[in-house]
Amino acid sequence: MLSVERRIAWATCGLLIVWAALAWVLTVRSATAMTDMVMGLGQIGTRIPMALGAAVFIGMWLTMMVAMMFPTMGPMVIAHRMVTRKRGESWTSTMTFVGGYLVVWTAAGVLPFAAVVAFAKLPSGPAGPWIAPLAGAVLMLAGFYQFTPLKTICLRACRTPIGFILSHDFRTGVPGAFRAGLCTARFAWAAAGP
Amino acid sequence: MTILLVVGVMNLVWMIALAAVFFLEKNWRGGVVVSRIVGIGLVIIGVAVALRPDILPALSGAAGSMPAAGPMKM
Repeated sequence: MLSVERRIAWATCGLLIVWAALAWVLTVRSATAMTDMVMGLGQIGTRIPMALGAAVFIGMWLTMMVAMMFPTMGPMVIAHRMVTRKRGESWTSTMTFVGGYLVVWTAAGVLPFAAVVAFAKLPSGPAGPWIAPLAGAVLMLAGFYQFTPLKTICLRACRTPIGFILSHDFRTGVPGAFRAGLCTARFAWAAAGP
Repeated sequence: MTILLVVGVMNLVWMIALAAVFFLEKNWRGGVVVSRIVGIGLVIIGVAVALRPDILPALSGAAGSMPAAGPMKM
């Protein structure tokens, strides 16, 4: 017989993985439907610039975030659940925590959406000579980012969930859970290299 | 995630690779080391792309179905 804590941990991870699996199925579907479309600097010149509506993009982006992030956030959600459970809060708090997390990840989609809009405005044809240096510079920046203090601090926060939850005063109840979700996601976002 | 702006927002191969990196960074004992190795790797790939532009389409899974000056189909 598993202890209550163990059962909560398993249930949380199980639910996150089920959601992530569903999201992966949908993401693979939309990705395979978009193999002709320019969605990155490296695809200019080999694919067709196409417009994409904001609503479609948000749906796609959020699904993709669930697919990529839910499997990684198990320990953080379990930590939050354990702390709120001790205060007698229900699963609503936990779901709100995850909801807050997703709000930040949706906001993180603004820049990619702007890029996709810009790609759609490009003339279709071979890539200009500025594309490769720009793409190289972006990749180098992403690489250097891994060594910045911001990355180090945020990754440490993500790696020590209990410490993170306990060292922040989010206050109690559902609003507290929402704040905790927002705050945690900001760290996770910064750790993932915005 | 910035990488996806280069290789394509809906690039499945990179998505899976990034998800794996995020998972290891956050949850594995050697996560911090993974993060550093990824950083060095990205700088190297970035330099390579800037010097040899023909690598870029290959990185971006653009063995695409669009012929260079073919008709547009939608």
